[in-house]
Amino acid sequence: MIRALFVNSVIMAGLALGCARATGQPTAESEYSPPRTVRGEPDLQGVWQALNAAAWNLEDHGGATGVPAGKSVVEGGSIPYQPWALEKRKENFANRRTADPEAHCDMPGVPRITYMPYPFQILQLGRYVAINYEYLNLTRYIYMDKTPRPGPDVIDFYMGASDGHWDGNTLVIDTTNFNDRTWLDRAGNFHSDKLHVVERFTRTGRDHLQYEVTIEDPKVFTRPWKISMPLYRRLEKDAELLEYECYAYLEEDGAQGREK
Amino acid sequence: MNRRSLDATVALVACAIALMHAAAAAQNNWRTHLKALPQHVVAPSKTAQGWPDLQGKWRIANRIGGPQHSLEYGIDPQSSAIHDWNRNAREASIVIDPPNGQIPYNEVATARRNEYLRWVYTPIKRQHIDPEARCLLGGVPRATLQGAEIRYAPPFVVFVNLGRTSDMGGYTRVIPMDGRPFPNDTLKLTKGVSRGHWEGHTLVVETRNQNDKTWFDSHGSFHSDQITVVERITMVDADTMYYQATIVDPDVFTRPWTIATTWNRARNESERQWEEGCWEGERDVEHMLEAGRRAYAAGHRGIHEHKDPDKGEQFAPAVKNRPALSKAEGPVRPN
Repeated sequence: MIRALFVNSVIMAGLALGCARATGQPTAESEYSPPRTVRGEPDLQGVWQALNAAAWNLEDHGGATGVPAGKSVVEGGSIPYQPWALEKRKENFANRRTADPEAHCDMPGVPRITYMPYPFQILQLGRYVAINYEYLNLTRYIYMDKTPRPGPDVIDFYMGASDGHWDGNTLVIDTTNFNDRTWLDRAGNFHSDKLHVVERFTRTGRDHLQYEVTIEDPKVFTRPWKISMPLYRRLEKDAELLEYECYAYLEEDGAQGREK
Repeated sequence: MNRRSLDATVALVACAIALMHAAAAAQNNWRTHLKALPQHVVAPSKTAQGWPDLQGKWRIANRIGGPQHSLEYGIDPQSSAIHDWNRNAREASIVIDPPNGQIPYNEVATARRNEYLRWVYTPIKRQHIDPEARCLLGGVPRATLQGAEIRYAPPFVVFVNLGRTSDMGGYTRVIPMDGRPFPNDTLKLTKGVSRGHWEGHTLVVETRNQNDKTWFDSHGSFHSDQITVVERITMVDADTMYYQATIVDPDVFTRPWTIATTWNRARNESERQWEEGCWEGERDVEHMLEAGRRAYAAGHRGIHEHKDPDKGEQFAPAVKNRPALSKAEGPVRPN
């Protein structure tokens, strides 16, 4: 199986290279050949972090107190909301200081957790890839072995249920079974429990990953849409995840808001 | 029956009993709690990078570290009065050193520990409630008392699926094996910072940099932020792991002390890990405080204590007739 995967990877890489040559447009994926793990997979392991303002707002936005200005990471610039959903987003934005699930320290969902201002660590453990996040010490399990996923309407999770596979040198993660309790950023961008997320992690160099996400949700958006951004390796010596235990700090601050 | 045949009979019966136990252990995939590393253990196979291969899902067969479990007394007899499900489930102390099975608190710490104990079942402040029940991360060694899924991603040994009290969710310990130094002592984390190395076939993990927010169990056993923990994990046979942790904290304990548990290989290797949303929608703490404050209003002032069996003390009789708390009493809010 590993061998098959490896052969498959080589073929895919070759195809990608061939296509790039044919179109005369070298793609990032064809330019860099990542080292391999002992299992023969492209090695994406390490401590990574986004370095942009997507956590505050996925779309173009100017600065405000505590908010760094940022260019849109959305392909085409804006999110294709259905009319009712655009109104809902405006309402969310107006109420963001209390309505944002992040303000309550709930698990932040996918893909939001990737571009929050905290590092995460990719660990390729064989049967699954574990993505370990400094934020809340969360771990996502990305099953690479076709471990059955629960049916779409059986059970919901904040972080969804994920399967992964290799597309050439790219780790592709398909995630469903979301609940509707998470947002996509601090600006009120949101989704329903019909959310379907496909993430693509591709190494474009020793210290860079390209992160591309397709977001689909027929209840909220008029069509699937994409975001993309580079992710950066944390280069400090002995970089490792510390912790952000959000609700422990809320409790200490006496602002947990759940104790009447 | 002469002496010789008696001896032979005794030996036979002993053998039969041992065989029965072995059969039961094989059936249940459960091995008697080991109080020390057995003299004869298997030499695990080595991975490509030369590490003894301890990989797999390892679990313990009891509720160590969970609600109502005390490291020193096992399942608390007093809690039996309140929670029928663990009646008769008392398990022995997992403290193997000192030999009396008690955590060697110093004088000041003993007073603080007893204060925590008093309020365990009738909390009137958040600080009275087990940090894990408040969804805080387990520290070390508590996070690993239920076992761990061990995986390797060199230079890291990874303990997946830890903490809290169930086998759902939990957090991941990533343990560097490359000899890197600890951060400065001034950095404090709930999970601490771990560094590992091999001593023969034994995985040795040292953890420093812990803050003072966690307990060792649900019964107020606390530590300071000066704590150092050394865990030693050794494969006994293909299905059994011996786990030992030694705790040093001169601010709180009069001497180092050691716990031991036995892990068994889990059979559900191929299952999918579920998400554990402990905090999300959490209302338990609120309800525990409400109950504790009503008990306080009814005149109860900390009903729980641990006795010292060395001094011939017995546990207080189970609280059979708990006071009925009418709604009319309403909540009180001391402090």
